[in-house]
Amino acid sequence: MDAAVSEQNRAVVADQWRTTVAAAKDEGYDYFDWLGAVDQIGRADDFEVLLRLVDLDAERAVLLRTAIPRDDPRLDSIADIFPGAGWHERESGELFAITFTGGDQRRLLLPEDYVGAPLRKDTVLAARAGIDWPGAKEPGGAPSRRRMVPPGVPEPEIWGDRDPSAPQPQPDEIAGSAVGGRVRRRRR
Amino acid sequence: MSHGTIKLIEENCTSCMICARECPSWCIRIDSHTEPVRDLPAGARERTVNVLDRFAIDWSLCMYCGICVEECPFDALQWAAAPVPGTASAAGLTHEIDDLR
Repeated sequence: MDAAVSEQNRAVVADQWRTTVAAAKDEGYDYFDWLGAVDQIGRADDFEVLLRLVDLDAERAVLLRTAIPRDDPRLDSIADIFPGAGWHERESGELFAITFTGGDQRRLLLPEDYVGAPLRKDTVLAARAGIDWPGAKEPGGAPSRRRMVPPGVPEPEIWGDRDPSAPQPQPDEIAGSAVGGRVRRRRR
Repeated sequence: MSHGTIKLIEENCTSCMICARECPSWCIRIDSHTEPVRDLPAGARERTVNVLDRFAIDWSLCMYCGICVEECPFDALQWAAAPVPGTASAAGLTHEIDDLR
């Protein structure tokens, strides 16, 4: 497929996800390309679910996007409209802990005993918080004046070696502190 | 150029730590120290230079993504075609400067 395909973006209300997808299929967008999710933590308390459908004959494509709340993420399954979407729903479902109502709830990639949702941005790479990061050293081996943390591991004051009497960190605070680089002073 | 292994061009390395910090699999370990620059003209202020002591890549962790090669501002890392030779133990997969030349 070349770059001349005309792309369209459509925001969809979560309640109308199934009907909108079915309507798009009737419109001619009958080729399922992919379905995925994005954690919008820090910008909104939502997961964005995206679905790209292609109309191969008319060389046009549509990107349907909807937002579902992070604290109760559920969306109607579209696997009966596009059977190929089933695997994508299982993948996004387990990696973000999203429930696709009416879809296949079995695990696809993660082990059966895995706990957590690894693509949520507030998921901490706990195994890494415990081993030393090779990038923490400064060139020349001098003791570092700024403290550096690797991407994926939150600042110790927020998640690891924190003051036990302090209030529990918020998910967006953990995610915001796990971007790596210099340890910042706590914003409070 | 096939991506068999990553070569270190020691003369180009300034021990800046960028590759070790960018590496997503934490497989690069660097030790370095500073030395004063000798033979400075009279009256010039003292200067130091970083000297590389250890540069090691653990091939049991490396996922051959090439981010270190891309990120190195001094072109001290380079793809090489020859694959990493097999060893009897995981420890043997940590290659030091001499193995990476």
